Amino acid sequence: MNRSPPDDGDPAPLSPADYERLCDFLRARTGLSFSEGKRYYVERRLTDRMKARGLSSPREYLDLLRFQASGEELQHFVNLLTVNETYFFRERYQLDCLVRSALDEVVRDRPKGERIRIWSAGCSTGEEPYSIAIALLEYWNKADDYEIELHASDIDSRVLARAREGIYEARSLQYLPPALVAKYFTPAGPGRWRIIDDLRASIDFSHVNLVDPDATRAIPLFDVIFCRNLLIYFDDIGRREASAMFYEALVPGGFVFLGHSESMSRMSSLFVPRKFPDAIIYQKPRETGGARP
Amino acid sequence: MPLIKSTPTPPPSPEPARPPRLDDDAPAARRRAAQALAGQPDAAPALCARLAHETDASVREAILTALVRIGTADAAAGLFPYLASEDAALRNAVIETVQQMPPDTVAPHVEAFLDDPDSDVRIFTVQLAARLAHASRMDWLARAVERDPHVNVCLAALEGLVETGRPDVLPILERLRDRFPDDPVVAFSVDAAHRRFQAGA
Amino acid sequence: MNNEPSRTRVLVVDDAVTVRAYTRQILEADGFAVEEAVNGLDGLERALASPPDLLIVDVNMPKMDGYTLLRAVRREPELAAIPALMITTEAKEADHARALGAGANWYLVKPVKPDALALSARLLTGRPVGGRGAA
Repeated sequence: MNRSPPDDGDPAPLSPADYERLCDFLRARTGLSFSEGKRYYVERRLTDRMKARGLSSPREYLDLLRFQASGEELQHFVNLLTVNETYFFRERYQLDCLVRSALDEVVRDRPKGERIRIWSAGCSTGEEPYSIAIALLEYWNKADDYEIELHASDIDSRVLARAREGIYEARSLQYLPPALVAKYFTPAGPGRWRIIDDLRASIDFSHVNLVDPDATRAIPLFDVIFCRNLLIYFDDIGRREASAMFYEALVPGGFVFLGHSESMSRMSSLFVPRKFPDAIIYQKPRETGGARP
Repeated sequence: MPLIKSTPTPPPSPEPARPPRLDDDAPAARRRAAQALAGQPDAAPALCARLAHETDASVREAILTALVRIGTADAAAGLFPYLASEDAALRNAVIETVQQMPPDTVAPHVEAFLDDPDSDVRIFTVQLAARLAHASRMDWLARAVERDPHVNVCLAALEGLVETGRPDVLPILERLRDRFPDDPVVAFSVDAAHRRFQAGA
Repeated sequence: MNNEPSRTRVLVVDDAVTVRAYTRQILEADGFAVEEAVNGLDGLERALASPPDLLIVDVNMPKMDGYTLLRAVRREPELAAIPALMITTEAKEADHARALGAGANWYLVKPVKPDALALSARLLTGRPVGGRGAA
């Protein structure tokens, strides 16, 4: 095979076998599919990441994707490969389930004035935690009866900074009723909007690596955890451990929301599926032995 | 507004006066004990022994997750006997756990348990073997097809062979048809494998 | 208005691809509509989302075994009355008692013969057992 030597430390080109291996891995791990036609698209991004990581062979990069416990590089790579799908009120039916069913059950035996804690794990640029906040304030009829702590975390400091900043393109707001845009956003330049100060200030954004046991040891107990399209980046053991960590971080009877195409049936046996009118979500049993709530 | 920013919160429960034990009364304490032991290979025998008495599913899961992390020969040795357990939930959780352990550590036990007198145990061992990323995987499955007297063990091996997606399993599957000529599941599965390999190979 | 009667829906819960395919072929040939779940937890979720007319449940599966699935099904008001056929590996008395005790209406021993499977499915869903009655 006649190949010119790489210059300036350019990574080795992607062979058909390597491309296939990479696609198989991506499909198995994340469900994403890339045809031969997308090869140039994938290869460009692969090359960028390999350079950024100082790796010279696709094999090494694939090993990194496969074995990095935090899943950070895989997440980054997938984010480069996929159209950014995050927007406000994404998977709206789950927010409906939260305010129409889940929270009412959470507070069933809880005196008014007490604290409720919600965690948006893998919050990315913040659309999810802000959407949860808006849904709570607008649609949960008991919101004023309780003190609600909203926590949001991500492993990527850059997206966290953007989440704290709270500035979004109009496209990201397209599924919000105009009245809510007017109420919770202020204009921030042409086609851009910023979350109002009160709301930005009331969400706790933090940097958390979910596979770091030291980081997760100090987590308080939550009533609800949103963990959507996050666990797909972990391998089998990683999913098992992350699920167990979320289990520990929940009060008995607390709920987990996964992404709409995800299921605990591929991840963990710890949670009980609960069917509500708007969605099926997962619950930590109230009593030991998996007794019904 | 009802949304409030949290002040830094203390740990959810006070540090216990003594470290949590695997036989503590409270499941949460037993879970914490198991989690704490995940980094201690010496704890493998104690963790494995606790499985025989543990009735709480979440504690069992914590114990098994700890054993996966430990991943030593002791851990594998302590887990395999549970394939014979009467408790279906425990048995299946152990199978899943062993599948996630380092293949070289698990392999010697696969060899041994493929000859277990209990056909159910052999079925589970074959299922385990089928998922192991080990060089001997095909040999184990082929061996079961060739020699195991029990059709369900052979069917478990067939499932594993078909999942490899390799066309060179077809002759091995034909051996299965020779050995069990009247079994409708065997006939169906071998025919289906032929169709699949012809279509997709 | 569509006068064609809708087919009886069966949810097959088994972690083995070949067993699911085999069961599907037999039941579809007999006029049933078949859906699949890959383990007990997947089965519970699918049953909750869309309750079937019959459950066929394997014993040994990851995430949730067949006995645990049946007990969970019997606790759910929406699912409690659904007939369930358990597929066991051994013809031991204890296993049969356990299957029925967990909430199975009947059981078959692997490997399952096509006639036994179709007959059991018809019996448990109240379809006529003689000839090719409508599903």
